[in-house]
Amino acid sequence: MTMNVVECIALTKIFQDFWGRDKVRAVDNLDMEVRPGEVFGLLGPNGSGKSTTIKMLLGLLYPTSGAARVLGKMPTDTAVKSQIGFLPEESYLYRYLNAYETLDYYGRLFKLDRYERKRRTEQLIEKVGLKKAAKRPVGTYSKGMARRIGLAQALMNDPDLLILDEPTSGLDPAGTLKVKNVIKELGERGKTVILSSHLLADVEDVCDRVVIMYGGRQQAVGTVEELLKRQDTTQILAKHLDENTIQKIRELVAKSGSELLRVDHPTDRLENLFFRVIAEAQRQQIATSGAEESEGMPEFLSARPQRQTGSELVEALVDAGKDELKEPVMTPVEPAGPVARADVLEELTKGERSSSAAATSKAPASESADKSEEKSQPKSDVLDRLMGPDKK
Amino acid sequence: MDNTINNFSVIMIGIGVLIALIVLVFVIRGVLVGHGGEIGGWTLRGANQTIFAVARSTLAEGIRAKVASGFALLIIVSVPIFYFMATGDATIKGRVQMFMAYSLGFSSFVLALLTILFSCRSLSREIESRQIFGLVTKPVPRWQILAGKWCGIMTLNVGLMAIVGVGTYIGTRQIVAGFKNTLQHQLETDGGLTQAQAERVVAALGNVRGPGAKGMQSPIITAMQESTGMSRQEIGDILLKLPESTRVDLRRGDELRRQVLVGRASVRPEIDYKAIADLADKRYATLEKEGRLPTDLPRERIMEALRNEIFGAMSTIHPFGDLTWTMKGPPPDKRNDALMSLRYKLDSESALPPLRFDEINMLLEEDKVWAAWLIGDPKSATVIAIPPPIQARTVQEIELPIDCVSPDGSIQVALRNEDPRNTALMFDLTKNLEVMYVVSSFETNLFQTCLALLVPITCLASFGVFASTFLTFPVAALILVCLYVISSSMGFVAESLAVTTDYYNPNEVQSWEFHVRRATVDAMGWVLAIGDSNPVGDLIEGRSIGWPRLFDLFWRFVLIKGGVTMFIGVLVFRRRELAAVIV
Repeated sequence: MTMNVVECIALTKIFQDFWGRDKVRAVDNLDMEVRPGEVFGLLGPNGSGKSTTIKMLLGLLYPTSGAARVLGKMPTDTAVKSQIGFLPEESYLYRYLNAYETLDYYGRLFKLDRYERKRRTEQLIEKVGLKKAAKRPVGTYSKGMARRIGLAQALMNDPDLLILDEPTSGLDPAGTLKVKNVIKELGERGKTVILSSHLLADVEDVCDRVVIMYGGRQQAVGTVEELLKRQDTTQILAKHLDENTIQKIRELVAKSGSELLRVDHPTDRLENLFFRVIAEAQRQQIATSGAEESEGMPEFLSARPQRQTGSELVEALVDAGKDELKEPVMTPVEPAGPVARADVLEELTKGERSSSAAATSKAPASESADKSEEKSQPKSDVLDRLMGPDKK
Repeated sequence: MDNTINNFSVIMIGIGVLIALIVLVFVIRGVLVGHGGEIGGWTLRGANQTIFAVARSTLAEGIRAKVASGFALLIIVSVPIFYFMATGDATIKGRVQMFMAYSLGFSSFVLALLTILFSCRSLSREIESRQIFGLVTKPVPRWQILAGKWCGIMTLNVGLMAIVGVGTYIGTRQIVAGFKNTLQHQLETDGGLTQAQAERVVAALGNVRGPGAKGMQSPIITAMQESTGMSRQEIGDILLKLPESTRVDLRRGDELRRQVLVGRASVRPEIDYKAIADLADKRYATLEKEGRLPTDLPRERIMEALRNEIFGAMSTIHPFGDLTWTMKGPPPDKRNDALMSLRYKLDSESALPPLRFDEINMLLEEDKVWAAWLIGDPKSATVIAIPPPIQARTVQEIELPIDCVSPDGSIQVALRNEDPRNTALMFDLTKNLEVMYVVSSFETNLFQTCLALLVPITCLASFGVFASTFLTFPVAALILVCLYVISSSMGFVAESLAVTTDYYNPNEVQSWEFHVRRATVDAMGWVLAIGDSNPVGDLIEGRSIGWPRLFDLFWRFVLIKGGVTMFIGVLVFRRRELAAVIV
């Protein structure tokens, strides 16, 4: 049996006042496990204990009671930290160092030799799109740029376990997408990622499993699909249908004893529009002093397939990841036709997607166009089932 | 009034002790009662890399984040300013001494402040601003973080001290070179010498040998005579044409070369305290046997009085008697122009009124005694006799050839008391009788002075790093500034608490209040001492700092005190929850 990467047993943290009296129970009896190779989300509102849990996993706080194990060792064990990458909730950087020096400094802390530090620093700066700003002190960076260099330092040691506390806070939509892509790619490479966020979309997009916390306690835990699946609702997504067809579907649904809840024309997502505009600006090579976008993953990051999805699949995915180096990652999402109101339709289709979700989430970007095409069209097997009685 | 002051000081000390105890309790509580966590790792493997990385980052913080750069600039600018400002007593010797005292003294003071602020700020601000999260979540044991901080701070200090040392050296040499240029110019213009002759006269200043003497007997004139081939009279005439200040500077410059810009050992009589204690024991036993012990004094008090009596006997020359002391120091640097100085302050039991010897028609002036020195081994040919009379009650320095110091650095000094006024003569052997001779060069002495100046700074760096493991920047810095100020003025503290011998009679039994005050001064002296041994004072008197003294300072204040402080700091830091929130 594979050892869990992180294990918390009745983990409790109580903050005290100046006189040593218990005041705040930040984490309360938390049992949690993170399996190798999964992207695990810690979800909860502000003050729910996500950051405190993460800090206990990193030895920045000591548990009041209970225990935590990271990669089989105590979080206070210094040696285990060589396998961990950590991005704090804000990028606490040395303002007087530039990006190269910052990464070089962290590389030295990992005892990397000069050549390796140089190689990784250059690749990471390229990857997080800070090449033009790399010689500037990081104190002059915008919040989003600081976040990017923070992410780069977390990857400096090619970690097996990546702990990201609010990784997308302060990032623009492009940066958010970028980070999410990085997390997905890391997941594909077999890295274990723990992600804390209160931005539900972030977690939903990238996490395999999530724990929802409130008041320091675990309220729900499971895979995203398990938690989101609504068995009592079915969603159909189609290219433009005329009123006649809609009526037919309505009748079919009624005949099957159910009820068609809503039919409408979805508007495009602001996110898609945003990416189209930015992509157009980049095509026109409009200058920017901020971060740029780049492609692919730094080649020093190791790929250690650990997922239970079969070695062939993993190999294919890793190879696809390499191919992806040649293609822009930030491809604007342009649905082939009108997209249904995302929130409604995605919920409706989720049940069907769940069976192939694992494969889909690991699909390389080169296949994304096909996949989005596939997403935007009604699933033939669902329709077949729906139409089935009529054909008969 | 006195009583009020003493009560006040006891109350203040009480408050201080109470605050210290509360802080201590909180520190111990934080260390012991923290929720069972401690960051592990004492590993040495790869420590050099991580310590170097942290030190580099700390250094960058000091320079780029302008924490230390202001201080550094102040130090770098101050050395040339002192070069132009220092005048001393308007002689070349005074100018050089003042320049060295100002540039080294001021720089070491500024470096101490810089160290306090930088060492207290670096770690505590990193914790406060949470930059430390990026550091402690890497495979770096906490001791390496503290060691790295210390190394970074000390690298900056050593760098700045090197600049100060080199600046002081260049400045000193420039002052001397400037004087020589002026002298050469004056010899050519006022003295009417050719350029070549003037150059030879100036070059002679480096070859002056033998003890100093006044007027035409001066060894400076001898050296000039040898160098130029002119007669003493001719040289005397030329020198008389020069301004008086230049003539004074010729003598002062020679003193500077031979007494200041060198490292001289100062050796004092060896005092065998164990033999004194043994003698006192015997004497006590005899008095006890004879039933002559005073009944109203405790044994300790009687023993102390006996020891003082015996010690006094060792430093008192009775009428028509003599005493010989053996002094031992480092082997001398027997350069042919080197001199030895006998430095003493002689006291007498009774007043020394003027005395006329009618037979030989001679007047023995007031405070002059008819006594003779014999320096060196009496059996050897190099022994030097200094005939009577000799001056008493003021510090005297006699220049002598270095021959009477034996190659192992030992020297015998004897004084014969032949004064007809029947008075005993005495020295305070701990400070008023010493022989000084050259053991090292000025360069070595300056280098050792810089190292000695770094000792208290090193100690402060350890204190600062330690304090920042559990205190915020302003609190830690304030405490350290207080510590530095108090440790620099312990003599004043001892006086203000009336525990110096000027304020109490050691032969009286003291009250508990006195013991509280004395214990406080002793404890403060021990806790707050940072190894400040006033090396600049020694440098400007041409006293050699010496490797043994440096080694002593190093192990006591850098290794033991600094090391123990850092170790406690590591223990505290290992247990500290860096993301802890007090609610």
